[in-house]
Amino acid sequence: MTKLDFLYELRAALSTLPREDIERYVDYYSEMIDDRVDDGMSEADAVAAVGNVQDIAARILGDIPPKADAAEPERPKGEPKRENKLSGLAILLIILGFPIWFPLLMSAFAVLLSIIVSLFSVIISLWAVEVSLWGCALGGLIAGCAAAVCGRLPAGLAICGVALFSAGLSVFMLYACKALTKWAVRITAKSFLAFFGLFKRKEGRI
Amino acid sequence: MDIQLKRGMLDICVLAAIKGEDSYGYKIIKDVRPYIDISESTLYPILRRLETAELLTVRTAEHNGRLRKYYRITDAGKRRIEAFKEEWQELLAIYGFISKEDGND
Repeated sequence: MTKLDFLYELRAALSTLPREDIERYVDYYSEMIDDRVDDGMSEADAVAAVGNVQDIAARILGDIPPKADAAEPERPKGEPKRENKLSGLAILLIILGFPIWFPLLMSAFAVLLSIIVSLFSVIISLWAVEVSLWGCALGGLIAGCAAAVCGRLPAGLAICGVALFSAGLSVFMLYACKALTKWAVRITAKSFLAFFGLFKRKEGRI
Repeated sequence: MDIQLKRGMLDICVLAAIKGEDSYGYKIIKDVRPYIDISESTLYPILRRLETAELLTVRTAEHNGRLRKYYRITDAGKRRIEAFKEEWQELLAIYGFISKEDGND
């Protein structure tokens, strides 16, 4: 594995952390690899000597105070059975409360799901606009050229101009669409993780 | 070695590694490793902890056309090492006590 691959994977594995922290870790491991290379190792050996990305990331996330699923790997070592010692009353309440908390939980999930679906439908329609702008640009260019060749030069030029404008607009739209899609995917992943993290902790308490 | 014991030892070892002159991450690991097991992922939180506790300061300097972080011990850091040396006497006494118990059994 090259240093760049390693740092890229590390960055991806730490993506739940604040950006400043990610940069700090990436700088640190980048320096460590460079120093090993300066010390006479090959890049691949230096990367291998630093360790496995997933192990490093698990350790880093384990050091951070509990946040969703980050603390999970640390738990088994500590006091695994503590949460199971719940009083009978609490268990009874949880069972009796099932008709109340289960529909609430499901409706929360449904709300989350509908927000995500509507978010993505907006994004899909933006992509549709993007595609149609491209279609407009291509079709306009062909039609404009055809009109110009057939003797209607001013009309042909005007159509070509509109086509070029659409093409320009679609380039800008492409960046916007890409950024929005990326953002939406990240938000979705985060909210699902948070939701199921909540659920996991609840399960743990039972 | 016991994890708690090792954690305390590592802090002191890292401080000792920068006691003489400023050092950088990889060199600290190389200097400390002959005495106590330490890896990159172990060192990072230690450096952060010592920095937060103001036992060391960090500066970035250019080296071979890239940036490298150098760590310098503070006066508080030096005092921490001295304090540890004093604690060592107590530890020795405890060791003596433990060994004596052993002998009686």
